[in-house]
This record gives sequence, C-alpha cells and structure tokens, in this order.
Amino acid sequence: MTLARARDVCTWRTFWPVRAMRVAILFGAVCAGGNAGQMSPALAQATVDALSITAAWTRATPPGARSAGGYFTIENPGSEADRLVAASSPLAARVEIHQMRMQGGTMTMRPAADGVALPPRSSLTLAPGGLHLMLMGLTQSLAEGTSVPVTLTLQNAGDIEVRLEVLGLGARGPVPAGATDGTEAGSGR
Amino acid sequence: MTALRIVRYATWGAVALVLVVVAYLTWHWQQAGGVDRLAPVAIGGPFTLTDQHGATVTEAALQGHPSALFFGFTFCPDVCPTTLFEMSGWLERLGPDADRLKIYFITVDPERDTQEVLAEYLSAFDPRITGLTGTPEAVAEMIKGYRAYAAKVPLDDGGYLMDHTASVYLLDSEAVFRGTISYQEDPDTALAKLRRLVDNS
Repeated sequence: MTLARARDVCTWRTFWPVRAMRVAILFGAVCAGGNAGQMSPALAQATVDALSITAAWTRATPPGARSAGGYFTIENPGSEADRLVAASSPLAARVEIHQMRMQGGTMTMRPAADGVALPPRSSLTLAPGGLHLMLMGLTQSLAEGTSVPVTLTLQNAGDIEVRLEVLGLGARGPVPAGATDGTEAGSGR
Repeated sequence: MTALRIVRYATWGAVALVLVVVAYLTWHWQQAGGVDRLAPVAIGGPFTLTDQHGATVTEAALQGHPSALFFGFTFCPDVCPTTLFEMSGWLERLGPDADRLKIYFITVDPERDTQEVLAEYLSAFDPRITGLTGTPEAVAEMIKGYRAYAAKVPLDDGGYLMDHTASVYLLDSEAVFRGTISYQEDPDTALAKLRRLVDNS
C-alpha cells in the first residue's frame, strides 16, 4: 500500500462508514506518519529495535599507531534482551570487542568471544579500563575533531550505524551531554 | 596414648623448628641491612638497547639523574598512549625540574616496534621521552631485569596483543628502584611522587 493510496483513504473520498472505520483502524498510524513526513521511518524503527547509542567517542592516535579504542553507551529500554556480537568500520581492517583488566599492575586484554549481553531495560557503557571496541589495522591516523563511522551488529536488532567522535590524545571520557550531540540509532548518519 | 604422645612431641618439635628458622632469617635480614633497600631482590641490571634516533643506550644512561621507565608497545590502544600523554603532562608540570628527570618508553614488542616506528609514534609526545627497542633477546633481558611482565596473546587473525606491566618504574640517580606510579593514578599523587623523586635524587 503506497503512501499516496493511504493519503487517498484519509481524505475520506470513500465515505462509507464500515470501510472508513476499518481503514481508520488499519491506517491510523500511517496517516500520522504520512502527514508528519519524515517521521515514518523512525516510527518503524522504534517498534523493531529501541536501542540507542550515545556518547560515542575515541581518541586521536599518535602517528603510525595501528590501533585505537572505541567507547560508547548503549541503552536497551525494551523488554527483549539483545547482544552486541560484532562491529566493523571502513577505517579499520578489523574491529573486535575486547575486555581490558588490570591484574595487580599488569594490563591484559581479551576478545569477548560471544559478544556482550544487553539485558532488557539496561544500559551498558564501554569505557577505558574495561569493555571497549578495538579498532585494528587503522587505514589512517585519527585526527581530533573528526569522527569514525562504525557499524555495530546486534543479534536481534541487526546493524546500527554510529560515529565515534575523535577526542584528544589523552582524553579520559566522553564530552558531557549537551556539549555535543550523541548519535541515535536509526539516524543513519 | 603412646600415639598421642608421639604426635604431641612431633608437633612441639615442629614449632621449635619454625622458631629456629624464623630467628635465623631475622638475624640474616638484620645483617643484610634491614629496610634500607626497598626490595630484597635487585631491580634493574645491565641492558643494551637502541633509542628512537638510532643511538645505543645502556644502563649507564640511568646514572646521575632520576628516571621513570614505562614498558609498553605502540599497538596498545589505551594504556600506552594515555600513559605517554600523562608523562608529557608531568614533564610540563614539573617545570625546570623536568630537565633532571629522564623518561624512557621501553617496547615489549620489538618485533613490530622498530626504531622507525618508535620515532614516528613518540613524535606525538614530549620530545624528552626516549623510546627504547632492540633485539628480542636484549628487550627480554631488560624486562626480566626489571621484574616486569610481558606476554604475547595471539588473536584469531594471526596478529597478537601484549599483556604487560602497566606501572611506571621510578629510579633514583643511582638507578635504584624507588617505587611506582600505577596506571590511572591520581595525577596529583603521581606528580607528588615525581617531585619527591627529583628532590631526593
């Protein structure tokens, strides 16, 4: 059913009460979407996967550095559990999810082989010193002020595009909310 | 009854033995100078490595001034660049005293971190930080001498990561180990430790 057809129906050209009622029930949501224009895709997105990613960041790399860490907060407000299983980026040969641990002064990093669980109504933050994306085989240095496109693959929600803001060389955390806009799921930028 | 007596005597005998051993060790420890030295085992030792400009650097370079040593590798995404960044910050905050402190970044991954790679990588940080690399054997010897830890961790794609000691070693002007600065230690505490090191060296 095309948008034009739906709009057709909504202008009540077919004035029969039974048909009108059925149509109203079926196409109520589409009408609202059609009238609002752009809202239609976002609405469809919201009913499928309500995950949102905010405060996505990384650090500028020293010249010649071949790897970088990626950090962000992912929120799953829905009632279905999900799992972050993979990631990729055009700026890296390979992206993995790693867990860093400090054990008595020794730093260790291990790939999270089965990905990371996202329980219902929960939020997870990837940050220095713990879980993080490991971007390996960087194709270029990361310059402060730019952003890195990354595709996160979730078991149920599928692929989500995010952009990691590139902060300074020694940045310890993301820029506070309000100073820069976080990247929302489904925005596709 | 007899069995019990045997057990009792044996146990008292063991207690006596332990006391004798402890007494001996205490006497021995006193003879060795007690707590004058921070650690009963020596930390340090001879080494021959190359800095990022191609010059040979040996343990003699550590004499005559305080030093801070950090073991890392350029493939490290988090701990190493941030520690180097912090170290650059310390040098700035120390002001003129910084000229006396020498900072060394020793690679635990000499196969990938060649002299050229180090030179390029360290150009992002304070030029007073010296990078050291060398043959795998020479590097392994230095790591061992400083009781640091480094181990390769293979990845699926044939690459590898390194587990490694993330603390910064502090040495006085006689290259004697004086303490460490931990990863993500409070910057003011770290600076205070460095000032104490520089003032007392």
